[in-house]
Amino acid sequence: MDIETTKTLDKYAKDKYKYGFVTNIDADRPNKGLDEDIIKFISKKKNEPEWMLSWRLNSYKKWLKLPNPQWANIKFPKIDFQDIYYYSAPKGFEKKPKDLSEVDPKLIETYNKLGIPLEEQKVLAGVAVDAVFDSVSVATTYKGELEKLGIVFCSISEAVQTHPELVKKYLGSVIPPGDHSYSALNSAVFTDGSFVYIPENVKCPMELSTYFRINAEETGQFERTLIIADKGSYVSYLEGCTAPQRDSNQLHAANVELIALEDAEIKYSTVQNWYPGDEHGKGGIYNFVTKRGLCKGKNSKISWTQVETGSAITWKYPSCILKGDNSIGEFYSVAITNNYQQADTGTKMTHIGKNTRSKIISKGISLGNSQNTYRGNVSFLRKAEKARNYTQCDSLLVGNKCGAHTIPYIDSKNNSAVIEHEASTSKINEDQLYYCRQRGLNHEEAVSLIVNGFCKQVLQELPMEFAVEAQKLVSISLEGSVG
Amino acid sequence: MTLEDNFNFHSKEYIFSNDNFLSKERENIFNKIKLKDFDKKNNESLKNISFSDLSLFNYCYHSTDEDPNIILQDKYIYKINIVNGVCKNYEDENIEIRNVTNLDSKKFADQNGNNIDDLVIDFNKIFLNSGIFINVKKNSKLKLDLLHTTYKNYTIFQNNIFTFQDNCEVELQDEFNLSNNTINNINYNIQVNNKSVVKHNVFQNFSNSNKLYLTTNTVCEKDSSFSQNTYNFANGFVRNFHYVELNGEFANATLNGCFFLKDKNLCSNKTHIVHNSENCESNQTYKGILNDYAKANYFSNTFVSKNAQKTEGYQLSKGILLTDHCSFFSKPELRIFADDVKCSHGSTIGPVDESALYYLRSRGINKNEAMKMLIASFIEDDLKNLNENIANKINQNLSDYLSSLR
Amino acid sequence: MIFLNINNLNVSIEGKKILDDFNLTINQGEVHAIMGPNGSGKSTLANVLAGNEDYEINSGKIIFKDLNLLDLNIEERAQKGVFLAFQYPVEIPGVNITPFLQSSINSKLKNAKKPELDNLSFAKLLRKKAEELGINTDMLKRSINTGFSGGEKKRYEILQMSVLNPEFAIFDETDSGLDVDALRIVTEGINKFKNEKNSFLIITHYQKLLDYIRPDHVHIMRNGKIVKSGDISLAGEIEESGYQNI
Repeated sequence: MDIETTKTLDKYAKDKYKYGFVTNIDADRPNKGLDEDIIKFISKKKNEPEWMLSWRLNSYKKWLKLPNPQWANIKFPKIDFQDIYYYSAPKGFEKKPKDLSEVDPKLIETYNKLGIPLEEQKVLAGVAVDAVFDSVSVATTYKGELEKLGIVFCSISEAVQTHPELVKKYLGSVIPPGDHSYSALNSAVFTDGSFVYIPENVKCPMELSTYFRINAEETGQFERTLIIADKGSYVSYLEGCTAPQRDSNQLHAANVELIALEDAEIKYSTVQNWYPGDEHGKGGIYNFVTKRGLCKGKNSKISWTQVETGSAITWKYPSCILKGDNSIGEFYSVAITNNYQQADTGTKMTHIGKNTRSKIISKGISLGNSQNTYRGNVSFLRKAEKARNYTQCDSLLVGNKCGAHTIPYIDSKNNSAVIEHEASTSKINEDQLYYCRQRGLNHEEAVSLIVNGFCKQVLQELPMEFAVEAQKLVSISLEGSVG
Repeated sequence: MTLEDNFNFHSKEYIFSNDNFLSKERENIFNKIKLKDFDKKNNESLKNISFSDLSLFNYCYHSTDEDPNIILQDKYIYKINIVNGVCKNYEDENIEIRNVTNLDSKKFADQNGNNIDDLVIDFNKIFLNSGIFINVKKNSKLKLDLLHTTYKNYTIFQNNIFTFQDNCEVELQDEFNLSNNTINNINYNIQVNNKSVVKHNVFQNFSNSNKLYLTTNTVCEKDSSFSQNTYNFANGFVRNFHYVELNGEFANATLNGCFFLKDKNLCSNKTHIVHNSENCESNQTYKGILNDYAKANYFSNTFVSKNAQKTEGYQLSKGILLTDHCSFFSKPELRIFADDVKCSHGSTIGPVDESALYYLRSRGINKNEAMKMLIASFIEDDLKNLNENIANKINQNLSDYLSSLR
Repeated sequence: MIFLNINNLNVSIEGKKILDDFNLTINQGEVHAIMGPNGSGKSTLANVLAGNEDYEINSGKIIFKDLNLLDLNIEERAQKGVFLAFQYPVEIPGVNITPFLQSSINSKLKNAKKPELDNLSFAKLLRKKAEELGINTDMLKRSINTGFSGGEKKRYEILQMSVLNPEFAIFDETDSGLDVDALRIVTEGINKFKNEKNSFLIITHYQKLLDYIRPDHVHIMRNGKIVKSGDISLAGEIEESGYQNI
């Protein structure tokens, strides 16, 4: 490695996390640990009906029996599930505030610092935000406007009260609580999250967005998101996440379920920037997330886009079950790991219906001492006539202390279906660096430019407002400088 | 017969039953298998093999009285007959060939590939009943044709250790002449020393009551080259698992394979290349055609360790499914810990190219003929650079296979 | 001021000597051409001037605008006004031309302690330069060199030169792989840009390029050295009788 690269690497290694501040706010939380009482406590706090509580308790029983999944290429000490707070809410949230004047100004300030202004007049045109702070949803903007179109965008706790029939019908229909231990855990203790319902033939006119923030120490965050796009509807949904800088590891085990009915389309974008731990691998979020979409109706489409730069451990596989004929699943991913971060991420495309199509574009960048794994599963079941998949995963290695791994599982049981898979791993092209530097860019600018170019296929899938942010985030994850 | 019966009744017949260390190891492996103390679900060595197939069989082995021939055809072509795992002991200025004896236990305890986690190799270790040493001396230029013959109902558990000393140039060929209802669990340990070039052709064609588990572990030293081509036309079950370690600089390895399956054939394939040294190159290419109810899998893995800078590693797999009832599973892995590398893999599974089929038919070629042309072209690249003898054999088998297509 | 002076330069790559006591002086406003057979060290010279780190400088000196050029790294040289038009411009997929060139020109302005260009004024400048060179503005929406034909890549190098306005431009076998029309467009670009303030080093294998550009000095290079210098008539001699007789 040349000296310039070493220098730039050292600079990268000193990358600092700018969202690492803590908001000093009184939290209302029960004791640590998980048992039936805690689940009853959460359910009671949220004033849930009986069916919801028993669903949680059933999930808890499943969780007790399920071992943690072992397939991922990650190493971490055993999680002590009795050493976590399962519920934490800023004091005074027994009842959800009616409007922002009732919200603690400190909270609003926190979101402002994160660049997520909650006051509607300041909100970026066309983005409605639901902000989740530790375990509760703080505020949902633009609610009134959406209601006029019949769109439901609220916290999931609220939806349990106001739209129980939809929640009952779809909750757990894509990710059954017994799927694996983290989904069972989430189903038992989920505290909040967003709920979206788009009625038939409605194209949601603005981006819907949730912002997750873990604030309280030793708190797990278990949000649950449920998005239902009824026939012929369209919605684009954005998710962002941050957490304060702490020495201990915090668990985040979210479940996200998407359901697209006939001719409906859901676009789900994530920019994940949880605290990744320090340069020695201390602290950081354990991000064990289950995201799955069901293309239930004919001609439906679900598209996942993710930019993963944070978390000590990322374990997530946003997936699509392509059940409806002609349905489409897409997965676009950028995962950058630095220092001691570990990412094991990818997707699962299950082709059930005829003429179903899927596309996977994954870009992994490993730096420092990190390990970055793409794990993808593409399967064509017997009835998936003329199904198509195209997969491309490229990895870039910077430095020789990190690892890049590509582990695809490809299974075809239909002879008219076509799978194409391509992958490559290499270091940054020296000729490209030379060319950029000959035009006057310094080494770091050149690296950032080339990496952004490498990720472009994915970044261009993000909604406009997010794409610019994501591009900056990619550069920040590489550079030492923090804006 | 149960695993336990097999193990206990015949324990005196196995090679090295006199050696404490190996006996102990055998015992351990046996217990592990008996207690099923392994990951059954994600075990690559069990893909498309049922555990009971592997463990329930009638152990049957007697060493032959006859002395199988070694025929020297021309000066440098050795035709080596191996009957029930045994060949003739032989030595000249180029080569040394002999059967394993109980005195060889240390060699076996120390051989490469002992650390590979693979249940089929575990079975090979506990039931080991034959083995051949071949030592090709420095600077030799030879061709070795091995013909394995197995008698009806025999179960062969064979471990061969082949060493190619510095600066050899050898063409090694394996062919199988299996009777009926045989089990052949054959494990090769191949050492390719500095500057040696070894070409290994493996030709598999036998009837459906036979099973062949072929495993090779090859170590390549500096400036050496190992290239392997396996052609599987068998009706019986075949497992081809091939491992290579590139331990010396500027070594290269190629593992290629083609398989042609029909009826209810099963076939499990794996290639695994570990780059331990700088400036090495590897290629893994497997192609398969599946008809009727056939089922196959292909695992490939390129592992680049931290100090193997300037590695080039390429993988490719292609599968053609001819019916709605066959299936193909592929898992092409890249595990990379060095940054100055060029690695890639590609994998495609699908039907024959519809547009090409359409084009040919529009030129008046009937569908069946067109199909055959396309399948033949699919593996055409693999048939280049083969010696005439094996090329003819493959063409003959290919046309037999194609004529069976409906 | 010394514009460019190369003094007793010795360069090798992987232990193999490529430039052997090489000397050359170029004054402001001059156009020099270097011709020579394959393997004579022409391209090495271009890359050493640009600061390519693959080469080993064994001894010698390069003074550029009174600066010791060998002390500067690749981008610092570029910021000081050295421009290399590459023989094979590399493709950089996903990186759009416009922001790339804007960062590039701003790095130069920043180095000269001049105000940087904002998006709008840069876009105007780029469009103007593109129009002058007859480059379709659609090309500006593409990724750097990606999917360009040989001719397009070279024209894009000329566009970059005219935007960055370097004082010293090196053309490394720009004519290779160009048809007559493309060659004419490229050389017209160079001629348009030429003035008394900037200097050129044109490296070529054939005389044809020099028919369009008309250099002030022509040098013949062999085995890492200049073996003969003269005016344009020297190029004609080469065309007639090859390099053998030099």
